[in-house]
Parts: sequence; structure tokens; C-alpha cells
Amino acid sequence: MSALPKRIIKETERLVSDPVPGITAIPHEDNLRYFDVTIQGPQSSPYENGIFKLELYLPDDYPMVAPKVRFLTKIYHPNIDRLGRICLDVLKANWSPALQIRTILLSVQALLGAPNPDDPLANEVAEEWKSNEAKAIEIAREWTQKYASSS
Amino acid sequence: MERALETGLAEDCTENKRAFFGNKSEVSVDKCGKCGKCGATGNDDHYQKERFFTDPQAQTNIPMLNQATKIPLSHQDEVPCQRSGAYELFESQICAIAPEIGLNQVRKLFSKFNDGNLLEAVNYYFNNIDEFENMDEQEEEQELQEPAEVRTTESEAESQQQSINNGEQANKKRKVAELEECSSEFIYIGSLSIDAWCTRSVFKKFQYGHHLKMKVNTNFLKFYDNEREVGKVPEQIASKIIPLLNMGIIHCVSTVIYNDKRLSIGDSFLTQIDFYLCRSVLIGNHASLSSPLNNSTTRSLKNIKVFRNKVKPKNDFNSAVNSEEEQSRLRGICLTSLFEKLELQPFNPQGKNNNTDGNETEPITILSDDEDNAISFEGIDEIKQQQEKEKFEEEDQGAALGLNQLKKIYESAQSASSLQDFSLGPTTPKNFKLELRPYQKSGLSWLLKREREYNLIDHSSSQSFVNDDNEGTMHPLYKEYEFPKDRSWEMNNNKKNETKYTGASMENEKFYFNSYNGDISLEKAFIKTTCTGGILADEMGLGKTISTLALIHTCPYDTTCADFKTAIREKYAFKTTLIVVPMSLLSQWEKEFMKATNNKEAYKCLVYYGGSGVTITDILHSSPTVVITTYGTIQAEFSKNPHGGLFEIKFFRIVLDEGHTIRNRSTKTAKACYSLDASRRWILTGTPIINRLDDIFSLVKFLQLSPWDNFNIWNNFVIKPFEDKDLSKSLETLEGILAPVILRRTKNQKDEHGNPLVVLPDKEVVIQKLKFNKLEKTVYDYYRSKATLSLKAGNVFANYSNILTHILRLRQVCCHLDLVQSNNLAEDEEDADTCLISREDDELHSVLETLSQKDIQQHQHQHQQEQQQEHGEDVDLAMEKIYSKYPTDISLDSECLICTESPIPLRHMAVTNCQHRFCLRCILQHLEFQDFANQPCLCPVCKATITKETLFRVITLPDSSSYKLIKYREVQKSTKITALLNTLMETPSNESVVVFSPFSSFLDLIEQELMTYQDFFQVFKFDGRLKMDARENILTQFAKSNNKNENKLKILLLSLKAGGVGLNLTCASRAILLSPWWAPNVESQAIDRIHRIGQLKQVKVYRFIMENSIEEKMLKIQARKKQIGEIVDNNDEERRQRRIEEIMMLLEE
Repeated sequence: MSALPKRIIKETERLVSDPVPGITAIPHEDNLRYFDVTIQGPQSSPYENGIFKLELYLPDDYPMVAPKVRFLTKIYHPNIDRLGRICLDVLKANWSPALQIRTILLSVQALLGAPNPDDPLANEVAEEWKSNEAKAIEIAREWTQKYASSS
Repeated sequence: MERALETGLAEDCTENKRAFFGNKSEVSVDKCGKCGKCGATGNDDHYQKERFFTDPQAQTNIPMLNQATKIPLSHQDEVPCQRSGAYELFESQICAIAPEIGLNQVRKLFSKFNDGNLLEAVNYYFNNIDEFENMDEQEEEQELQEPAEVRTTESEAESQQQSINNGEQANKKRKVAELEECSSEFIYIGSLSIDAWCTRSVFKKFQYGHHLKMKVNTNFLKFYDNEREVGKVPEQIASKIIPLLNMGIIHCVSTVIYNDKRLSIGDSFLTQIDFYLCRSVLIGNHASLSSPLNNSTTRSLKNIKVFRNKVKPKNDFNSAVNSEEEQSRLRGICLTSLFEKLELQPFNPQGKNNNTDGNETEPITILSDDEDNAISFEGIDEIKQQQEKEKFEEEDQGAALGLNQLKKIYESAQSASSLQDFSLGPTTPKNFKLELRPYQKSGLSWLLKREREYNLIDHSSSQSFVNDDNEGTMHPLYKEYEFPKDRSWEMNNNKKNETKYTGASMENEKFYFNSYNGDISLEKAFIKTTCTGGILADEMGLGKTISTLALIHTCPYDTTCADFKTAIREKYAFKTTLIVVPMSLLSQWEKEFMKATNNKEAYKCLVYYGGSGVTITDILHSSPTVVITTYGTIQAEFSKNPHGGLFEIKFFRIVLDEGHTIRNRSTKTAKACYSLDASRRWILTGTPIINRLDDIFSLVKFLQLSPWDNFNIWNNFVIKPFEDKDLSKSLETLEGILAPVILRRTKNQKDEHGNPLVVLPDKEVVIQKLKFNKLEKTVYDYYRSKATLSLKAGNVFANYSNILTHILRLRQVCCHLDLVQSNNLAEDEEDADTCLISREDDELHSVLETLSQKDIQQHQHQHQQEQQQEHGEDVDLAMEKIYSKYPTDISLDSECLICTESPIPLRHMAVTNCQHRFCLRCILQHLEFQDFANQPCLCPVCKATITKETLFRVITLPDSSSYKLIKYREVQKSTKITALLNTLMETPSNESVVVFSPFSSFLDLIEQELMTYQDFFQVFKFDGRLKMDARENILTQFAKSNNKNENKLKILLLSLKAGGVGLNLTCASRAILLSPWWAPNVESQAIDRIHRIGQLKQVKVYRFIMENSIEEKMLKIQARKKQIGEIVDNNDEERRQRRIEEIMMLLEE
């Protein structure tokens, strides 16, 4: 296990001291590369009022490679599959070391506000979204109510 | 040692020639035949021991016992010089034919036939044998009387001298010595019944119990009845007894036991000989017997030498023995053999099994280099053959040591010294500035004790030193015997009141016999170490240097030598300690000395080193406290003139630092060290044994630790039992030898309170595994396949050097590709293998070049290349854009988006053609990473395409108000260098780092690379190419504390070989080992440079290992070596075999 790079320490400090609204990221005490993340569903989206739990892991090669992020809370979204995996360009090919945990989480939050059924990960959901968007949004809202309500 | 074999030969000769002699002299053939037979077939009847003679009809007259110490005159002295050679030849020849011939007779014959006509001489001799015998006797009688009457001048002067030399031997006359009838003079040691051989016919038969006188006549032990020769003792027995009689060690009384008829020449008669030990040879202090013996023995020895074809001892130092030594050895041999005949067996309290008993009773054979000259007794040949067979079968391992054995030896040394640890209190050194640790203080006590400076030891702990010399270990050369019950003739015949010989009182008393030099003692012989000095073998880092300096300060000069003038006349530098050190430690010693002394006026230090301008006269007259010199210097001086320079004078004390340097006794350096003269000798070493028992011998030899400094003795008592797999015996002896003179403590050892001796800060060793980059991987695979090919090509031996080259290549690729391509590798401090590299064929080079070219092409994407070509104009454009974007201060508001460093230090900054600023290493890392993942290289910020070639670096101009861009030129960085840089970057700048590599050319590359980071690093390099003063300078600079504001990380690049040993680098707390080494202990030695006494910080060590490479395999080999112990054999074959196994390990999948 190599030592924790300065950058990770710095990022973590900033996440704590200057948190992004609607997002929390707290590192595990025993593994500072592992974060418990919560993201509030964006307003005027089917995920509004939902608080979604995610996990974030910084691989050894970070920041040369993107962090690994996964939803823990069940979510109905064309770009997020049942296992919580996220289809997002900045987490894949468009990753740049200039991006940070904070920016990545903002991108994920933005993804909730702008689902992209044309580049799906959960095919059934994407199908539903395309054929009957209103129903899909309804289901998403139900799921948010059911799985991601704060209470 | 040669003599013994000759004895054997001479005996054979005698037996064969006796018949011849008998025929010629017309002695009845059958008797003669019988005699010849007894001589030849052995001792079946004759040597039977019949000790119980109870016939009371013994004659009552107790004979005067004449100790017949006929000393053959050294007649050869009288033979004119120019003819002496001829005479010796003549003598030896005639003796071979007629062994009984006396020297006088030979002389007569020689003068008669002085043309050296042997044949005529022999014929004449045998034709006139009676006459000759008469002559002999007459002369004998003449000579018997002469010393007392006429010939007083020479002999008396001599005997006077003898009496001065040795009072107890004054009563011994030169020819015949009557023994004083002092009751306590002799001690009975046994009886032997022998078949005596009649040499003159007797008129009436001897009665039972008739006493005969015994006299030594030349080389025969003869019986006399009323001064008339009647018979002689068979040669086989006589040869053992005569020297002893001559030396006055034993005493014989003979009694006729059986004689049934009138005797004529050749008849045999049975006699009992009672053997007594002269009490005068018994010693409490066995050293006294080692002192020169009286002249007569020397003389007789000389004679024996002449008699036996005079073989000159070889003059090499193994077999070179002085006559004194020869004497004592002869004495030992004869006594051993006599004891054997008398069935005196070493007393064995433990009652070991018979095998070992048998071994112990066997006489000690001293093997010389030349086996033909070796001593040989009956049975010994057999044993030898057996041993040789065993050796053959077991593939003799020589005196190499396994790790476990080594451990045992060290343990024994430790157990011995730890005892002393507690028996000695601490001593506080005088005039000494540094504070000693408690264990160092008790170490100082030990050092002083070894130098017999008892009054300098603090006696606070109230220890007595009375039993100082008795270390409690019995001298291994001595064996315990018991005096037998007195069964001599007289005792058996109840003549107690009349007897002169005490026997009963000594019965069952023990005595101790040194079978090597024949010393006999009534007191248990303890090991005595006459040498002052010893081996300080504390483990690395325990402060051997400090302890030594404390000793020097506490006892700086020889107090027994107060007269300066006499000392100068005798060239005795009595105030000077000579310290011999490896060159790299020269300045360190000097510094330490300066640091330690608190009186720089009184305690001076001179460095004696080629070019230091110090002469021998300076040393003698200015009498510095220490003179420090190097092994190289003494070796050079010794080869120039083994009696000049340092070898001219005697020092008060000599200290050999890293004394294992002289472990090979045949090296010039070792021999030079032996030749240095001093009153006290010390060896400092952390590893007294590297791999062979012989290593210790060289140290013992230097210490002049008698008797072990004689290689034959060493060989016999240490090496041979070891080779014979009698490990415990060998180690026992070794412990006996070393225990008194060695002090070894280890870091883990606990003091009397159970605390470890040294508490060092923690040490953390991190193995950092690195991945090849693409190019490296390709090159590595190329070499690997080549290596595998040549391995498959068949015989490893034939391709041995080739394969070694391949291995080296692979190791180099792991470091840096340039290492493979550069031609100056032969200068590298690798082992001899390296030399092969420079001879490598050009073909390989061209292959490699095209290969790497091709690879680079593959490696760089096509469009990048095109871009690069187009870039000529773009560069200016891009630079202009950057200049306009950052008009004055480019570092203003800069943040490296990769590592979040802000602002980016200028030295560190790299600017992309899209005007984004990063740390150079961050952006390079990014580019490499992208490249490795086969992804396009894009600017992390704006996603513009960037390349290494389009990066710019920044340099500040002298006015510092503006900056200048320069194009980044890629220095090909190997994975290791990158990793090194990263590690260094992460290291806090208040630390110091030592970087080790076995390749000094790699260090050169690293130095080059680090130079570009001068703002962060202060780089020093230390390797074997440095001159003395430069070395010192570098180390001082490196150790200097950072007092200025410049907050630079100090880095010392150290070649593993030049700097792995001895240096003290506790100023650094980090070490990086760039590449592994074969032997794990070399690495740990290197780490110990910083992890040693004086280190206050936690030590962190990084070991860089390339993943999936030969380096990982090397780790395996290291582990294997640790496990099985590093056995290095004398046997080249086996060593090679082991190496080949390792090679296979290295190159296997």
C-alpha cells in the first residue's frame, strides 16, 4: 500500500471544509481512499427529495485514472443499472486528472437531472423511458419515494 | 615431521639389511633369520607385556643405573667444509647398508676411502666387523673417561653453560651421567618385556633378575654387563626410547627375566625394562619445558638428522619449524609412542565410546604439505588410508562452514564473552571526551585485561584477577593420564625399603601430557594466552572504534619502557599505536580520534599514507599516539621491502580494523600484517569468519596466539576434526582457542538487567515493486529470450560467461536501458563478470539498436510523429501564446491540477502548448499513463492533444523579473529513475537520503537526472573512483547539518561496493536500494550504514524491484541463501554447481 498522495489529502480536506451543496463525501477511517457518499436528487427531477447513497473508491493510480463510483441505493435511471453502476463519460474515457472527486460527484448529480436513454446501461429502463417517458418518470419517483426517502 | 617417516624407512632398512649384515659377518644364519623375522613380522612375541613376575629368587644387587646419554659428537663439524657434502653422502649410504655403524666408524672409513668408494668401504667394514666393534668400544671407553679427566676445556665449558641455562640439568654429564639417588627423582610409568638381542657372546648365562645397564650408543640402545656390551634393544623400540633418554625425560631399568643358555651373538634373551619418568620434566608451568633444551638433545637430534639422509625442511611458512620445535615434536612423538606401548591410555572421565578413545590415543600426525615427508607410525598409514577413503566418498567439503555451524561458532564465542561481560565491571576511560555506553565500558575492562593492565581497570566491582590466566578450559593439546600401579621389578620383588624409585605414592595420580610437544605436567593444563591483545568482534554498529579509542586513551603507551632513548635505539615506538584500516575509513578514524580526545596536545594522530609525507623517523621521534595507515600502504611497503618502513620498527600496539581483510593467509596483505611487530595486537571485525575456518587461522596467526599460529597444529586440531565430521571436537577446540581472546556482543544481546545492549530506532523496509514501461519490457523480453536460448543451447559450463553476461544485461535493463548500450561498463564495480560486456559483439548492438528504434516507433503514435515534424513553426507560436498569457510571473496563481500543488515551483513547472501549467512530473506521468493505456494524450484541462515534445519548461532569468521558456527535452527516464524521483519528491527536505546501486554507471545517470532538480536536491556521489581526500570531503559535506535557509534534500549516491562497508552515515535516515544484490548480507551491511548507533530517527528503507523480472528472482535467491546459509566451498566444482542452480532459478519461467 503506497502512501496517500498529497492530492487525496488535499481533496478530502476541501470536501470537508467546503462541501458541495447536496453532496457529502466522508472517507472511511481505516481506508482513506474509500468514501461514503450521499447525493440529493436534483430539484424538479423524478429524484427530487431523494437522498442517494453511493460509494466512491480512489484506485492506486488515481488521479491518473478515474475514481470508481457506484450507487448503493436502488434507483430507476436509464444510465444506472441494478447493481448501481453508472454510465458516465467522465468516469470512463473522458476522465482527466484535472477532474476531482467533487467534480465527479457533481457530474453524477447532473446525470440524475438529465437522464440519457440513448446511451443506456439499464436497457429495460431506457426502453420504458423512450416509449413512455411519463410512466418511467412516475416509476422513478416511486422508487425514490420507496428507497431513497430520507426518513 | 619429515623425520618420522624417515624413522619408518630407516627401520625398514634396518630389518632388511640385518640379514645381509649377519651373513657377511658370519653370524649363525638361523639366529639372524629369526631376528630378521622379528623385525619384519612385528612384535607378536617380543612385545608381550608380562608384568607379573613373582619369582622371589631375584638377585639382590640393585644395579647402578647408568643413564647412557652418549652424545654423538658432531663430527661432521670436523670434516672439512669442501668435503662435507661428500661426507654426508658417504655417511648416508653406508648407514643405509650397515645401520649399526657408528659415526666414528664412518669417519674412519671415510678417511680411509676418502675417494668415496663406497663399495670398498662396505666390504672393508664387513670384513673387519669385529675390529670395528672393538674400536668402537674402545673409543667409547676412551671417551667415557675423557670428559672427566682430560677433555675438560670444551665439554666443561659447555656443561657449565648448561648448568647456567638449566640448573636441574647440571648434573647431567656429557657422556655418561650417573643418576642421583634421590627418591623422588623418578616416577614409574610402566614396564615392557622385550626380546633383547645379544650382540656379544656371554660366558655364562644371566640369572633371573640380573640387572643390566643400559646405554645409548649412537643410535642403539645397548645393554651392558659390567661395562661390557652384551646386547641391544630392538630398533623399533629403541628408536622411540633413545631420544627420550637423550633428553633426560625417561629412565630405564632393565632386568633379565629369561635366559636359558649361554648367549652367543644373535641370540635373544628376555628382559624387562621398567620405565620411569624423571620428575624434573614434570612441570607445573608447562611453558618452562618449551624453553630451549640442553645442547645435548640438540646435538643428538642433529645426529639423527644426519643419519636419516638429511632432508631439509621446506622453507615455506607452513612447514618451517625451528630446531626447538622439532625437538619438542620429537619428544611428543616418542612419548606418545612409548605410552602406547606401555598401554597408558588417556584418562577419559566421560567414558566416551571406543571409537573416540581410539582416535585419542592415536599419535598425533602432523601432515605437511608434502605427504611423503609426513610422520608415519605403525597403523597410521592405515588410518590415513581410511580417512582418505572417507574423504573420497564424502566428497570432502573442506573447511567450509554451513550457516548453522557458523552460528555455533559465534554462539560459543558469545557465550564465552558474555561470561566475561558480567565478571568484569565497567571501566571509565581516561582523557576521553566521548561518553561510553555501559557495555562499552565493560568491554574496555576486557580490553585492558587482555593487555594485562589490571591496575587501569576500575575495581569497583571488586573482581579478583588471580585466576586470570586460567580460563577454565583445559588446553586442548593436553590429555589426562593416570600413573599406573607400580609393577616394576623392584616393587614386585618387595624391595620397597631399598628402592630408590617412588611409585606407589604416585599410583592413580593424574598427569597431563601434551602429545604434540611432549610436555608433561602434574597440574591440569589450562589454556594460557601469552599474547596480549585479541579480537574485538562486536557486531556492526556496537562501537568497536570507540572502544578501541577508549583503550588507546586509557593506556596510550608502554609503561615498562620509560627510556625514550633506548626505545629509539631499539626502534620501539613505545608510545604509538598503529591502526591499519581500509582506505575508505582512513579519514573517519582520524576524525573519530580527534573527536574522542580531550587533550589534543598530548594525543596526536598521524596519517601514514602514500603522499602524506610522514616518515618512519617522524613516527619514532614525534611519537604520536596513533598512526593510521591503510592495508594498501602496508602491502605496498611490504612488497617493496619486507624489512623497511613500518616493518623496521616495533609498535606499542597494532590494531587491524575490519581485520577480516587478512582472512586469506596467502595474500600479500595478510603476510605484511604478520610481519608487523608490536607488543600488543588487536583485531577489530564484525565478521571474524566469512566462510572458512581458515579465516580464523589468519587472525590467530596475526595475534601470534601460540601454539595455534602454527598452521600444522591448527590444521590438525581444528581443520582435520572438522573435515572428519567431528564437528563437536573441532568446535570445542576452537572455543578453547577463541574464548579467552575474543569478545563478541550482538545488538540483540541482553545486559545483566535484561535490557538489550543497544536500542536503535525502528527500521522499516519497504519493497517497492515497479512495472516496466513498454520499451523496457520489449528490451527486457528480447534479452530474456536470448538468455533462454543460450541456456537451452546446452552446456551451462560452456556458455557460462555468456550466460553471466545475459544475466547482467537483464539486471541492467531493470535499471536503465542506457546501461546496456553504454560501453564503459567495464568500469562498473560489478564482479569480474562485467569485463565481458565490453567485448560484446557488435552484432548484438546493432540488433538492439534496430530493436529499440523499431520499438520507439511503435511506441510513439504516428500522428505524434507527424505533429512533431510540423512543430518547428508551432513551437514558436505556442511559446508566443504562453508569453502573452503569462506576461511576467508565470507561477502566479498556478496550480497543478494533477497533484494540486500550488503555486507550482518554477523549477518544477511544465507548460503545455495549450498554455496549461502542471508539475513536470505530473504531466509526464499522465502522458505515460495514457500512452500505456493506449489512449490519446490530451491536456487534462482543455483536452487538446499534447505530447512530451510540445512541453515547455521554465527557467528564471538572472534579473528574476521575467522568465524564459525552453523546450522540454526528454531525458530517457527509466522506470526506476522515475520511481526514485517520486520517492525523493515525497521525502521531507530536512531528511537526508542515501541511494545505493551496484552499478556506478547507473549512479552517473541518476546524478545527471537529479542535476535538473538542483533547487530541491543537493546531490553527492561516492564511488570507488574517488580519491581519498575527495571521499572525505564528500562525506563531511553530506553530514553537515542544513543550517542555511536552503531547504534542499540531501542525496548521497553510493556505490554498493565502495560504500557498503564501514562508513557511518547516521546523518541520513532514509535509504533507497535501487537494485538487489546476490548476497542478502551485502544489502543489510549497506542498510546498517544508516541504521546503527547514533541514528536517532526512524529509518526507512526502500528497495526497488522490477515486477516480473530477474530482480524478483534475485529476491528468491537471497531468501534461499538466507535459508541454507551461504556455503562457499573450496571445491570449485561445487561452488559452480551451486551457481548454476542459481542461474537456472534466475532464468526459469
